[in-house]
Amino acid sequence: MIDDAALNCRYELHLAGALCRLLTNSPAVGETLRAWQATDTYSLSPAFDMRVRVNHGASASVGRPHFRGMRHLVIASFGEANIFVFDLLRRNVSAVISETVVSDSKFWDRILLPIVVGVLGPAVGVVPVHSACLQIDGGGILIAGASGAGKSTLSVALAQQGFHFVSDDWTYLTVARGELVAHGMSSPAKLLPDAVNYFPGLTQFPLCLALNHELAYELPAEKLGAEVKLSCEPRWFFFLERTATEERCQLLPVSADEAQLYVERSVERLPTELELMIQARTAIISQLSRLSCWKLSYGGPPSVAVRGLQHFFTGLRQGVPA
Amino acid sequence: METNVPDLLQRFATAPHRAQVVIGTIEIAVQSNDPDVIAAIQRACVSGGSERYSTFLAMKVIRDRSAPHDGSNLTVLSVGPLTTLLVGTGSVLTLDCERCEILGFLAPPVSADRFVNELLPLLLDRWQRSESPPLASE
Repeated sequence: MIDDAALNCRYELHLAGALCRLLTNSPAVGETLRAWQATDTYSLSPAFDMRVRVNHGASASVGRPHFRGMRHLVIASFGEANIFVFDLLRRNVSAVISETVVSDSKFWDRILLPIVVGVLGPAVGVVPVHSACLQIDGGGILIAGASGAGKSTLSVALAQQGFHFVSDDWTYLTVARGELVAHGMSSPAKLLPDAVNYFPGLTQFPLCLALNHELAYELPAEKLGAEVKLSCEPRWFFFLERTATEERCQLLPVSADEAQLYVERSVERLPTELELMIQARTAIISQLSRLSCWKLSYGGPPSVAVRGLQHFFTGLRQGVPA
Repeated sequence: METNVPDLLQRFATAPHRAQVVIGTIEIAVQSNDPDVIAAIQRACVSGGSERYSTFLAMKVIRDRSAPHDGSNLTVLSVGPLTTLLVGTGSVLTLDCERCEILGFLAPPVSADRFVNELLPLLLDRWQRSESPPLASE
């Protein structure tokens, strides 16, 4: 039984624009999550609660992840000793974890917290979208594309050419004072092994097994020469397509209707019990689709797309209509 | 620009097998994709005949053939209106006392009989001990 009275350590975390009230029986959890503790909660979306009971008798480390969901509930386990129960209707997540997991900051930062925002986000006005996010000239750029389309490779290539890096895979959208805000979770950039063809420096780092069991380089973007930002206001939305043709980059406008349809098809299907959340999510997706939307097709190395986008933004700076 | 998202959580698994049973004073509407679960719960059914039942529960239990086969330890996590049972990591059952429902997945190593004879009684006991379960509708 998790009893709030026994969870006498309280913290407020800032997770992708949402306020997470953390209640736990172990101050060590707060210590591990120190970097996420909120200093200014004024602009955050509605809050959710996270109750974490540390089982001091258990020492199992993080096990293989397993996820299931039904109606308003989602269960995530990481071995038998580490269980998280998400309740989307009541906006909370409750967990029992082993003592070993408490100080495993890699687990919290790279796995658990992004999952918490991904699962509970729609309940608190945060929409996870499968897009990279960068910033240039004070405006945010979202780059959507199927897995394997090259979002991460292009993001790192852009970041090495002066674009600020927010995320390379999942971006979390909120609305603050009527404006769309895109948040990252400081997750490491994930590059597949063939990315060494474009970033030879990767060879000094080891490949590791990612959460989806792919072999990949997972590195803090700063180690790849990126300047990282936690959030930005998106203005452009690109849909990335790789072509097998010659080295060439093409940008074609995409209508708001087409953009909205794409995003709605790419977000997780939610059950009818969560109708209010579905409506709130649809409103944010609608706002997203009203950005300047483009299909970005390119063949060849990512530097081809980087040059194409640099040309695009240079044109905007010079007042050339996009 | 085509895309679609697979149902990784198996949220929308269909449960075509259905039964209405009575255990003690609890009337349960159960749905499952596994006829063995339905048969096991019907065997455990103690019908009260024409008596009125004090409470009603809806239950959806999915036989999850892709779940991990690991472990048989039972873990119980109880917070507010939710009580969750985890067997190994592949079988999970949650009772929501406020919404009067039990939802979950059974991994292959957990037999329908173990579900009905061991796991379900734990949840029903928790349900009956919950402070004020809503009365069943007439």
